[in-house]
Amino acid sequence: MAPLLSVEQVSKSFAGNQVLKEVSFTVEPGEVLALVGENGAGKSTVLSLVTGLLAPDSGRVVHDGAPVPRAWSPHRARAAGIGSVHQELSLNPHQSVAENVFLGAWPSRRGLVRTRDLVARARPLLERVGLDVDPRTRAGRLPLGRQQLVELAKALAGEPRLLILDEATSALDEDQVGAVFRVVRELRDQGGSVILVSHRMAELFAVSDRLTVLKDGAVMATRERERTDHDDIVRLMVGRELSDLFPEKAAADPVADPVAPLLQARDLTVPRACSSVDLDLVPGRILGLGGLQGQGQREVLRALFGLDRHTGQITLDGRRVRLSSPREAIRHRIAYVPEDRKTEGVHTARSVRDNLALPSLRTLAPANRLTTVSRTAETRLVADLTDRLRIKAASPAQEARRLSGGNQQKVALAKWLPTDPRVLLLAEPTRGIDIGTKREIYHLLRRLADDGLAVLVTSGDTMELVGLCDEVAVLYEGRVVDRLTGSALTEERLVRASVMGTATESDEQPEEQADDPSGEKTVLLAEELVNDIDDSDRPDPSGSVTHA
Amino acid sequence: MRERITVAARGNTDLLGLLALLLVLLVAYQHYDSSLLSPATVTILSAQFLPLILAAAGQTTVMLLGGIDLSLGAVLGLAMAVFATYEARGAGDVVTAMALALCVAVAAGAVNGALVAYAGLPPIVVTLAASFLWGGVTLVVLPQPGGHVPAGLVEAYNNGWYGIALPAVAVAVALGLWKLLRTTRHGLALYAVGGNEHGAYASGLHTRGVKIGGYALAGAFTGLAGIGLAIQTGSADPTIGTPYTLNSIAASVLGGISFFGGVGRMRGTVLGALVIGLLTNLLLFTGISPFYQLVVQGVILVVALALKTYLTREAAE
Repeated sequence: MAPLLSVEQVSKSFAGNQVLKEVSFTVEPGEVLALVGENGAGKSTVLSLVTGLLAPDSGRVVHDGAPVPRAWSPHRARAAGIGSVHQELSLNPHQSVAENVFLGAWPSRRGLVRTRDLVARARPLLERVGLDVDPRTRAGRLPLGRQQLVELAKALAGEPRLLILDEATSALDEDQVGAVFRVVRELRDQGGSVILVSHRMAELFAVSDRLTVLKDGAVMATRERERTDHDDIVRLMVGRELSDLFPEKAAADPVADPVAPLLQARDLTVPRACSSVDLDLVPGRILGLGGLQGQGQREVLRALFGLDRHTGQITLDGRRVRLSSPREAIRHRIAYVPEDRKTEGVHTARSVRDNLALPSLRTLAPANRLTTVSRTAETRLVADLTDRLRIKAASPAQEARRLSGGNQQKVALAKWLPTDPRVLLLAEPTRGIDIGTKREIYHLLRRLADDGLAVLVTSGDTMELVGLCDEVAVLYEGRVVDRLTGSALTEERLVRASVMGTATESDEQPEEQADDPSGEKTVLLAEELVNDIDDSDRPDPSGSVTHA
Repeated sequence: MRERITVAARGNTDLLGLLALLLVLLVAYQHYDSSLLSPATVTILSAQFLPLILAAAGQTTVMLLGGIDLSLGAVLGLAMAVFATYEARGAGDVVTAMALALCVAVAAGAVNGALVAYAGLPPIVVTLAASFLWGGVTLVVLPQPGGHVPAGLVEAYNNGWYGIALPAVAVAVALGLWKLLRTTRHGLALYAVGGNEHGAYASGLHTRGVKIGGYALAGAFTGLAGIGLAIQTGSADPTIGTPYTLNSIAASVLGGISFFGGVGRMRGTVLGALVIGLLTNLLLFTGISPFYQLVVQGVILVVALALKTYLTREAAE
């Protein structure tokens, strides 16, 4: 039978950054295909090509036997029977549930959309997804999980033959996930197809027929569900080239040589984001916050910089502090490099010079100069920082937006250094920047730690956390579920804890790993992995990252 | 009856505060002008308030799309000038002049919408530039105050036509049509695009078309406001439209229209416009210096808006 959808050799780049490399896969009628991969592997991008939100640079998408037209759009995709639910909600929070279910395709009689009609038609769809709400409720009033189910009902309203669920279960509880899977199976039994993206391994194995693994924008392998298992898939997801990408870790063993923590957070809670998080930031060490996207990592950092309202105790040097605003945090010599550098990290319209000087204005423009900026001191500071971090700018007067992403990130970090911070918070410090600059940033962070800073990093890139950090705390639904350090800090463990939400194996001694009953299998799978990579003509990754 | 009132109150909780403010103003007004509730006064007041009410309706349409229309006053002036310079003498002429003025206003709105939708320019920039453009065109059409409106029409509009307050009827018709629009796909699309533009696009809505249509509709409201103002004053003035830009924004915001789009109802805007109109009149009655009138008006608006924001925030949490 001809596949319902086939994605053929598609590539896509954003601003010179290639996010899809000749990706190919097919979906048969009556099949559930799972797309698996780490954050940033390219899953959502490839699905956006199918739903018409993006167009490929090369390659093509063939739907229903014919290549999709050049002017493919969400409107046409929907008309062609492709329904989709994305993690990012497309509901209008101000309209009713019923109005949202039929968004853009409201049923009307003689030009008029009757509320009674809308409500009556929405009811069976809502029932199908197991949602017991009044269709007249404003969508924005529902909790996130229920909104996601409304999205599903909305996708079903288009009577799709291909349903795309991109992280559609991320905010759902167990019962709700069950309802979604009932819909998926129903659709499959009626000959429809489903593409499923989820980070929760158990979910993928529960309903999919085949699994396609993406890594760094390329397809690693496609497996029949019966012929694979969790370990196999995790193996395919992780592992990359070895290089001197990461600096050596802190020599000191935290157990043998305990250092008093500089910043202690106890019971840190940010409403709707994280609860009862305990963290110790130690001078000289880099602590990582891991987990799937949106498990509260971002909010922990924001709370520690006084950006998000929080409860719990934070002590600095043993003294209780209140971090109620960034001003307060900066006064305590805490620095923060935010996730979105273009809106929060740098002032894109201002010069490199202005950006670098901004946090130091207090010293550059002292009261005895009537708070005018000393140009000589500023020039010295800017020259020093551009030199030290090797910021590549045409001149200090260049606008920050004209810098490459990597250099922007360097500016976002460099500007804090003259303020002599003791605690450095970084969110996704290397997202979207090239490998060379990544390496420079990793080494810089390590040098800063060696100089006595306490560093806290969040990242969706497991390799980065494993390679860079001395310890990683894994967050799952806002709670710390595992803490990995030393030889227990491996990509596999990290991914496993992230997707399972429990501290698997963390009680075992690392030495016992060799005797691990699954060890033999792991080796086998690793060979298979290498074979797969040979097939696809990729460099040998030789397993996961190791450290001396 | 009581039940009806409670149901109506429950459906309009967001407007109760505004209604209370309106009531206070009406009571105060009654104090200065005891003939307030007579048919003659209602007719005169509705004639006086119609332009602002319709202008606010236009502003609201654009704001529901997440935009703002700074060219509203200029377009209003243009429609007024076109209508009056046609020098209509008979009933047929009047209809032609109205159609012409309305077409010009709708076209101006559609141009705004197209620039916002296709050029991707921020509405505030597009409509600011457009305000100079249409203001200039108005001066070309009518360099000085002038033009002509049939006296019978002016009389019927301002003093009632067989005892019927025509402006009040016009506002009621406009509100009815708006209610009808809201129950069509186009009305729902307007709110959907304003509430979550990306989501609407991803759901297959033709968001650009919706925007152009919305701005064009705003142009229609504005054009009607301009025609109303010409009939009320009996002639046209090329610069009289300017204050309507900011007044219409104030009325919309008072009426609960969000600057971010997708939130608010037309009936709120109408109440908001009534409050602003009554307040202006009332301050005239008090006889205080016009300069202080502006100060008082500003203070009342700020207090009302602050109170409203505070109360709705409480309700949301």
